[in-house]
Amino acid sequence: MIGRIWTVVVKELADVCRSRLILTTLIVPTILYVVVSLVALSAGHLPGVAGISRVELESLERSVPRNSGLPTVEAFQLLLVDQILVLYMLAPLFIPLTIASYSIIGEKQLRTLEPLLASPIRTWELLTAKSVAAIVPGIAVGWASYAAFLILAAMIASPAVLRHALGPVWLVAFGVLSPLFALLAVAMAVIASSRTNDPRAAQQLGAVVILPISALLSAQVFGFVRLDVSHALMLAVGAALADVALLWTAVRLFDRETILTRWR
Amino acid sequence: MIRAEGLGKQYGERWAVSDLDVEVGQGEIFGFLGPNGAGKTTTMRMLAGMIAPTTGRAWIGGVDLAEDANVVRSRIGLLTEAPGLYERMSAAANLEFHARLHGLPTAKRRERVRACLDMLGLWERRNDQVAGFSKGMKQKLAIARAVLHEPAAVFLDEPTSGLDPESARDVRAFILELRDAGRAIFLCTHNLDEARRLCDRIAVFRGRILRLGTPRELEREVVRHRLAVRMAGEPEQFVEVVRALPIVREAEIADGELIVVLEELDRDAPPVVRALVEAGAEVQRVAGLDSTLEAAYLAILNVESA
Repeated sequence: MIGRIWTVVVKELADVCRSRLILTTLIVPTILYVVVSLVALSAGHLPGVAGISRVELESLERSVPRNSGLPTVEAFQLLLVDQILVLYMLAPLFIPLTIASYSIIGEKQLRTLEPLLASPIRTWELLTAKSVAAIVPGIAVGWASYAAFLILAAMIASPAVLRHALGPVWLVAFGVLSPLFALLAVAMAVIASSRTNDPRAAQQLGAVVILPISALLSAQVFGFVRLDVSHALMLAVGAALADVALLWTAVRLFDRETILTRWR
Repeated sequence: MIRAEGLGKQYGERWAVSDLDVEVGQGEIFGFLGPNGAGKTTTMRMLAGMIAPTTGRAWIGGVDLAEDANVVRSRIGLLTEAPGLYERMSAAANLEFHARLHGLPTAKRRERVRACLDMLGLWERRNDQVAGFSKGMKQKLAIARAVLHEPAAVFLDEPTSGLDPESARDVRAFILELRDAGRAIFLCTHNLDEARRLCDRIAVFRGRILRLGTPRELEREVVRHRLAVRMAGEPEQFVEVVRALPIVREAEIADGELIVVLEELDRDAPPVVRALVEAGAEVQRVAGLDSTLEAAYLAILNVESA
C-alpha cells in the first residue's frame, strides 16, 4: 500500500526533476522572491526610506500595534517581514495547483493512464500519491525561500526582526499551515483533473480553493487580520479536516470507467 | 483461468457487449476477432477489472471480479492498444515502476526486469529513454510490462498492429512462449493471418459472440469447398454438365475458370473431373481453392448483418 504510493510519488517527482520548464518555474521565482525581499528589507537602511515620516510609519504601525516603540528602521523591517513571508506562503499554493492540474489529465493525454489503472493500485492510493507529489515541489520552494530569507536577512536585519521571522507563528504557518493549504488546492485540482479533460479547467477549479486562502493571507498583509499561534493552529485543524474531506470526495468522484471510455 | 458468464455492458440505450459466455484455459490462446467498434476493447477492460459490467459475472483464476477487482488486476497483464509508456524514462525504469506497483520484492524485480528485457531483445537498450525507441521496440516493452509480474492471464490488444514484419514475428514468437509457459492469453486482433497462426480457439465477435471454434472449424463451417478447373476452349459449355451432378452445390465461371462448389473437396473432386473428361473437356489444371479464415470471418459478419 505505502509501497505503491511511494512508487508513484518518486516517479512523479522524478518527472518534475526531468522537466526543465517545471524546474525553471520552481527555481526562478524562488530566487526572485528572495532577492526582491532582501532588497526591500535592506531598503530600510537607505536614508530615504529610513527617513520615512513618522506619520506614515504610525499609519503602518496601526496594523501592527505591538511594533510601537521600535526604532523606525526595525519597525519598518518588521512590517516588511510579515508581508514578505505571506508571499512565500503563496508559492506552495500555486505551484502544486499547476502540477496537480495535469496529474490525471497528463497521464490520459500521454496514454499512460490505462496501463496504470490496470495495475493493482487503488484509487485512493493513486490520488494520494499524485497529491503528495504535487505539493512537495511547492512546499520545497516555500521552505527554501523561507530558509534562504532567514540566512540572508540575518546579515542585514536586526536580531529583533530575525526573532520575529523565526517566531512560532511563522513556524506553524510554514511547517503546518502551508502544506495543509497546498493539499487543499491540490485535492481540488485532482478532483477537477479527474472530471475534465482540460488542464486549464482543472486549474481554474483548483484556484477556487486558493482564492479564500489568498484573501486570508492578503488580509494579514493589509493588517485586517493578525495571525497568532492559536489562530494558526485552529486554521490548521480546519484545513486538515477540509483536506481529508476533499481527498475522500476525490476518491468518490474518480470514475475509472468514464476516464477510460469517454475521454478522448 | 478466464471465465465469463452472461457478461454485458450497456452505454445509455446501447449494449456494447451482451451475453458473453467464454472460458479460456491455461496455456490457451483465445482469439477475439471483430470489426472496429464491435466491443472487443470493452470486453477486455471488463475482464481485466477496469470497468464494471452491467450484467453477468467474470472470474480470473477463480477470483470474482465483482468481489475484488484489485486482486484480479494483480493477476492479469494487459497490453493496451497504445503502448502507454513513460517516454522520458528508460526502458528499465518503466518496468521497475510497474514491478513496484505489483509489489515484486527487490531481488525478484531485478530478475524479472532483466528476464523480460532479455526475452524481447531490449536488454542492451535498458538505460535508453523510451522516447528514442522505434514503434516495434515500444510495443515489445509494453508487452514486457504486461507479463513482468508473471500474470496468470494476459490480455493483448492488437499486439502486432503497425509493426514491421520482423518485429511482428518476434512478438508472435513471444506470445507462443507465453502460451507454452501456461498463461491464458486473450488476444484481440484484426490480423486474421495472425489469429489463424496463433490462436487455439477464435471467437468472431460483434457485440456478442457470433461464432466460436478453432480456426480450422470456422473455415470449414463457413466456407464451402471450391474447386477451380482450367480447360482448353470455352468452359461455359460444361457448367450444366457439373451442375447436373448431385455432389455439386454450385458452379460458375470466374476468370476463365470453372469454379465448382462442393461439400467435401477431397471426396468430390475426382467424380467432377471424371464427368468433365467424359463430356469432352480438355482439362489442363485442377486446383482446390483454400478456404481462409478471412473468408470465414467475412462470411460470418455478412450473414449476421443480413
